[in-house]
Amino acid sequence: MSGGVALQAFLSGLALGAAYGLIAMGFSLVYRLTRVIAFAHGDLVIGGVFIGVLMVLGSTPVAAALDVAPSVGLAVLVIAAGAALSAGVYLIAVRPFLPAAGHQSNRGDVLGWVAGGLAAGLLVREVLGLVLTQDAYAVPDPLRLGRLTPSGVLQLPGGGTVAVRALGVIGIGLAVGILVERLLVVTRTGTAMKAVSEDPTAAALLGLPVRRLVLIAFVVAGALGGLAGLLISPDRSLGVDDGVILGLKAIAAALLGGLGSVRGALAGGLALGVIESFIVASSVLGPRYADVVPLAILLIVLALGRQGLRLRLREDPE
Amino acid sequence: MALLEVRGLCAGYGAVPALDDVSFHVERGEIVALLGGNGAGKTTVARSVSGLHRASSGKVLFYGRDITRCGPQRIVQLGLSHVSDGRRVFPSLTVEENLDLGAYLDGRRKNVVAERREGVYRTFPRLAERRTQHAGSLSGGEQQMLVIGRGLMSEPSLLVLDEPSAGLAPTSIAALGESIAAIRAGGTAVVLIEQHLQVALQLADRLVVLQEGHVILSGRTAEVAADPRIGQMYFGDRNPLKT
Amino acid sequence: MIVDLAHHLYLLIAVLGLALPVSYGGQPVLCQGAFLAVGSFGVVHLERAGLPLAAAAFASAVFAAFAGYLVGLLTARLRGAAVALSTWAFAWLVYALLRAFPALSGGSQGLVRPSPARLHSQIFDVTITLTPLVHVAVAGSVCLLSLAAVARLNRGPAGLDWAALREAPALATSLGVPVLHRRAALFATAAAIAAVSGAGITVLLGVAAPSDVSPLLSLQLFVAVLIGGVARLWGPVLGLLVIAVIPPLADALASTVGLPSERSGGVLTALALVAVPFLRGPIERLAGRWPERAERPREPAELSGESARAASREGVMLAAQGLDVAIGETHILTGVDLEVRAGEVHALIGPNGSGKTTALRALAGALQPTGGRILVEGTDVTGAGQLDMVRRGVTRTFQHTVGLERLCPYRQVLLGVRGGTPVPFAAVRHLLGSVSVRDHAAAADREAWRALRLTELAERAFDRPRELGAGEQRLLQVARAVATGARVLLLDEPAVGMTGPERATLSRVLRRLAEGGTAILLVEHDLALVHGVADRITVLERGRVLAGGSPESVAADPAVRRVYLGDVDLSSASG
Repeated sequence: MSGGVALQAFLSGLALGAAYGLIAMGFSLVYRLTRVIAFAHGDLVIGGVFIGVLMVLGSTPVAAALDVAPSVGLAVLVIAAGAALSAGVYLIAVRPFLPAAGHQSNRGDVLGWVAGGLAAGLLVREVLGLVLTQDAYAVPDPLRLGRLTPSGVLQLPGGGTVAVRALGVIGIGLAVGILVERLLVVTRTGTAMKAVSEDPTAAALLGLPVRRLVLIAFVVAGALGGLAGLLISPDRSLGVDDGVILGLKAIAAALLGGLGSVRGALAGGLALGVIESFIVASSVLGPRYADVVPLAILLIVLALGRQGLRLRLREDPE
Repeated sequence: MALLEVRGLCAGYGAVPALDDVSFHVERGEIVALLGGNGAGKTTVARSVSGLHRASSGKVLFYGRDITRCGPQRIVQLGLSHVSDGRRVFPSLTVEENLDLGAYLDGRRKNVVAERREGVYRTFPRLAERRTQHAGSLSGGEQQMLVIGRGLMSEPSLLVLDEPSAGLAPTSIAALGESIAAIRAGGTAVVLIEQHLQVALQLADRLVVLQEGHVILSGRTAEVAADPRIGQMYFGDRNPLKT
Repeated sequence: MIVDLAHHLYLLIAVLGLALPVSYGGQPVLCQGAFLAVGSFGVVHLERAGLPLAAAAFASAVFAAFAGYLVGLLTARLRGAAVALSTWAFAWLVYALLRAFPALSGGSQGLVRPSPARLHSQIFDVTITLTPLVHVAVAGSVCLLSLAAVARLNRGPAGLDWAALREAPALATSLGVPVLHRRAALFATAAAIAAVSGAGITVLLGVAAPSDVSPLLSLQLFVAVLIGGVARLWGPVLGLLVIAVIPPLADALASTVGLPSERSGGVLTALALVAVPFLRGPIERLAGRWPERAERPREPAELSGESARAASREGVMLAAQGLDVAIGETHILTGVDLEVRAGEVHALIGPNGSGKTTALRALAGALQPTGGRILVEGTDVTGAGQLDMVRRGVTRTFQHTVGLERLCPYRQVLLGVRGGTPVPFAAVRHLLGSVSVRDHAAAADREAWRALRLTELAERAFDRPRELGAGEQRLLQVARAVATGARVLLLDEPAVGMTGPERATLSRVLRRLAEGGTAILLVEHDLALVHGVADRITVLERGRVLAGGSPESVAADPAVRRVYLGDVDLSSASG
């Protein structure tokens, strides 16, 4: 791999990784507050994108350039749909199975929310699939990041080229990611969320609105997912069934960054994006390993990796 | 009208009953100790009063108002604060952040919160020295001060303290007793759940003794303490007060 | 029609297999479809390589079992939700592999099975044409066989292990049950059965296609298992109804509303998945009306040689030398020396957070020390795990009551016996009804009654655990530990929640055990109890030994009085 190609792979990997990072941040945030693994999270991202597309472009979208009004509409709709879906999944499929605040002994009905999350994701895929019958669609870019320069590409030193769009995606993704991370540290709501994640019972006893804080976390996670969907979808052909693997990759990113750490999730996303991009660019592996390797990484990290002590997924049966 | 009145409270976990027809009351500015062995139902009383646990029947009245079906948030607003057992600080937050969360419901008024925080620091000067430290790095006694101080941040008229002395060294227990007396002197009533008999006997105006979910004894401290059943409950056959 | 029936029966085999890790082992496994794929594609590839059908199916099953054991070991340490996550990821990984490598899977068309559907046995010189009816017979009999085998296993030692596995894995480990390997074994069995099912379906339909073994199938099989509730034999059969009903219902729905049918199947699966958690409660309550059948062996007469296990009265059974334990950066124990002798009750006391429970866990092998040595009867066992320590005769109890709500005290104690002196391949031998197993069972029965008598629980042997008082539940913990044949008992606050009379019983039990030669390390807060029962006391403070010796000398030690006891008299203080 020449230097130019490597740089190109690195930059497009960062762009992909910024989107993974945003999705992983939402996953980590939700996990931190509730210890719930959001099984439907990836489907929400894709669901948000396609709901926006359906409402603005109808069921036979083409990736033609949009006017300003539909562009703004699409962008807002996708993010709002992601947030709304996430809140809906929480209220319908997750919350009924969570322990009431302060119920020390039980961790709620784990099987309930696992099944609820899986079912919610499946429903999003299948219901959208009823309307959008093709295997994959090309989705236009409402943010028009590709038009920052006339040609849409930049020459890289060493012979590679990179789409300007990728640089825009990196910029937006990192900016939003860092902004949200900072907000969670400095605001009162952020501190309250931290308290809930450390001890929900104690938080409830202080009068903290635990359920509202959890709902806010799900909404933020959904909105971050929607934004990630906007960033990621114009670069590829997208099918309604792509959500699961996208979600699993985001979980892999969250685990790489240390589960429960919002900052780590963003970093993990960037790392995974770069890894995937190099796999695709590599002449040995190639695109067919683009899904296989991240899933394998997820399994290995789950089974062998170290997780934070308090937020661990392991339960050594001692 | 009593500050807190518990009438015929029954509660359980699933099919297992934990409380059966528990009644007692707390007057303003008074310290009432709930005594009993592990599993007697003391903590369940506290959890039912503070809205963490739903009673299956019976009533909890606070200022004469029925709060049996209220959630914890509403109950904190009304002025009842429950400090649960186990010294549950938020370990990765600083002492100051921990305290401020205690006043979350009034948290938008920054100066009010700061004022209350200073009040807590006056009661527990040790906390003021460690205000920027993470709560997880405090000693056991300091953590206990922190959770009590956090409970006081909502300016409650009734403070429910669940086993504050558990696992503390004797010197810390003595300091704790003084703090509780100071809190009462400030006009806040206290329900003190204790296994440590000495602490309860020294501090409480009245005692309520639970056994297997029933109130078996209640009354003024001196009267109840003289009852032989107390000694039996704690020490098999020895009465500690005779030694 | 008959093809459909055969297809459903094959799927039922996969459901019955999946019930092992899910219903009996208590782990949410979402990758049964992936193992089905191993069978499906394995059979085709192996037949193409020249293997006869039966050998190909067998080889695929063996391969699936290995793969299942590996995945099972990888997920065995995870919490329930994380097991669901990793098996779900595994299902998608296999699916992604099948789609990425058409050479393996034949692409979206799938692989067509080359040979005709015939079985030829050279030994008997018979050829059977596999008509759909023969498939129904084969699949049906495999189903019945598996049902019978599972039922038999569940009544025997395996059933005990499974109950412990799903309800209290930590307890199971402390009693010597190798939880990780049991979980992996259930996983492997399920995978092998799934491969058989996949092979059958491929032979029946003549084709193996990736879309037939997609993760959606894994979800459907999981739903089918869940519908039946926990550890009920007829559950999976009920689940079959779900599998059989969803496709025609989806087709009907599709034709009336005019929607694509492959999507409506998914929608129905999702609905069933949502319905399961809501339905589980009522179904279990319904099932609860038929109580679990349990044999009630009669209590044998007292035997003279009951304390035959008594060791020499003098020896140091368990010793810690300069034990250091750190968790992360925090030093919990520093240079702790401790000796527990046969026939002695050694109390370990100290303020909360002084490291008593940590010391106990380190001695039990649940926590690896960072320095120092642990000796059992003079042998250095530093670094040994919990299972190893149980085999060496060191067993601990927990501070909290850990219960097995469905098992009566007798069966719970039996679990301890089995864990302490494991019989190799007990489950398989029980399944085959070997004679030697009966001798083992009789010995285990004697050992169980010995433990129950020593802890004064013999009269409650067949009561429901929840009918036992708090004190009896604590005694049952001790009984389970005694039943492992432990010569050293590590008891973590056994008196918590006990009333006065119950504490008296506990003291009596502890003295009786000590007189039988057992070495007891007792972590306890109740100083009145300690004073009454202990031969020797060690006081810990901030992870260091503050004092040690006879109760009198410890009580008189000024440092102890200052730090721990305050001014309260030891003989009457509550701590």
